[in-house]
Amino acid sequence: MAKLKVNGVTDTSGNQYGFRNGQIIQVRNYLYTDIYEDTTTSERDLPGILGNGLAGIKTHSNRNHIQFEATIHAGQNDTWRTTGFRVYWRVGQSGSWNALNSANFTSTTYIQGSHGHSRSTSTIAQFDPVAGSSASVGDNVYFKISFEGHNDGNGLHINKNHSSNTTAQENSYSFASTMTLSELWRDS
Amino acid sequence: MSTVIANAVLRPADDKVILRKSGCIVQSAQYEYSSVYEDLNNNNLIDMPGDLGNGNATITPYFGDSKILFTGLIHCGHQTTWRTNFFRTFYRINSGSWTQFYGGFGSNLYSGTNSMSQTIKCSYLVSPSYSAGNSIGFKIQHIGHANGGHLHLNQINLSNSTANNNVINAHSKIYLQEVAQ
Repeated sequence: MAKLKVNGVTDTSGNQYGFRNGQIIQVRNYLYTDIYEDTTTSERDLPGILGNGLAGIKTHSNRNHIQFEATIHAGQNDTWRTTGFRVYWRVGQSGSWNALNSANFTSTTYIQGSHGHSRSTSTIAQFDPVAGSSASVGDNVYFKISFEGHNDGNGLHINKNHSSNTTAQENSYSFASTMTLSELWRDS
Repeated sequence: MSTVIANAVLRPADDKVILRKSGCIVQSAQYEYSSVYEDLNNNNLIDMPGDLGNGNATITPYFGDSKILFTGLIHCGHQTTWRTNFFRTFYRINSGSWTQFYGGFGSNLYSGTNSMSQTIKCSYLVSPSYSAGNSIGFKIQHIGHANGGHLHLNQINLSNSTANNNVINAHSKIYLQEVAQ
């Protein structure tokens, strides 16, 4: 098939459109819908696609940036839960993980003497995967999220929610914790 | 230089639009603050520290009729017993006067244990009146509840502590995206 190569595309009023610095040119979205509970307070990876290191995006140019977004639905059992979430990335499926501190976030849910509550928390960050790495065109950039509970209020209850006072493992309202990766075009 | 002038770019198989301007996010910018910052004056209305409140958070739209998707992301810490924090949002054109817009948000934390933390993230589509080439700046102001309004920005300990630590190195930020029309 023939390809037309140009340096710019404009509308009939003369405004340039097409790819420009910062434009989103692809979006990948990953969902985790199961309920996951953990009573440890030390740092560990989130379950499934949120923490197994397989959530990735393949950039079209090693100049492009990535916008990272995540939403976590943090449930609760009596009395309170506070969790810190850390975000990591790496190029390819091997090698060490790099911290993406800019995307880290937290959640707190507190109701005395009652169960089943939930708090939705989210984050957004933009970064350059090439800076400080050997990323090249066509590389997959992978992400994972870890969690760490407050010493005195341990326990992650991801996607657990119920309108009754119960500790039952139910996702009554079909919550999905998500990770969204977008590629941002960069001219140089 | 070759330039193609068109109102849409279609793919050959079914004439679906693969490139257009309207509704696209055409640029993004983020401005961050990662230090721990405390304000212990409850009802004191103040600009947020660093790029969150000094007017450095700007975006210069490519087009003269774009809208700006403003996102404020604030990590609110806490010390016993409770903290309620409110945030107001403003924009200005170039170095003009600040205009408050309906983009405020709030945070509430309550516990007898120190160092709860909650990330608050709110997005608003803002439609400022500006001319092509103008810079649009944004800032956030804070005021606390009269009875428990201390601000503990980015104070995250994950233990029963009032230390000024940010143990997960989280960044509060203003995130700006131009949405072409």
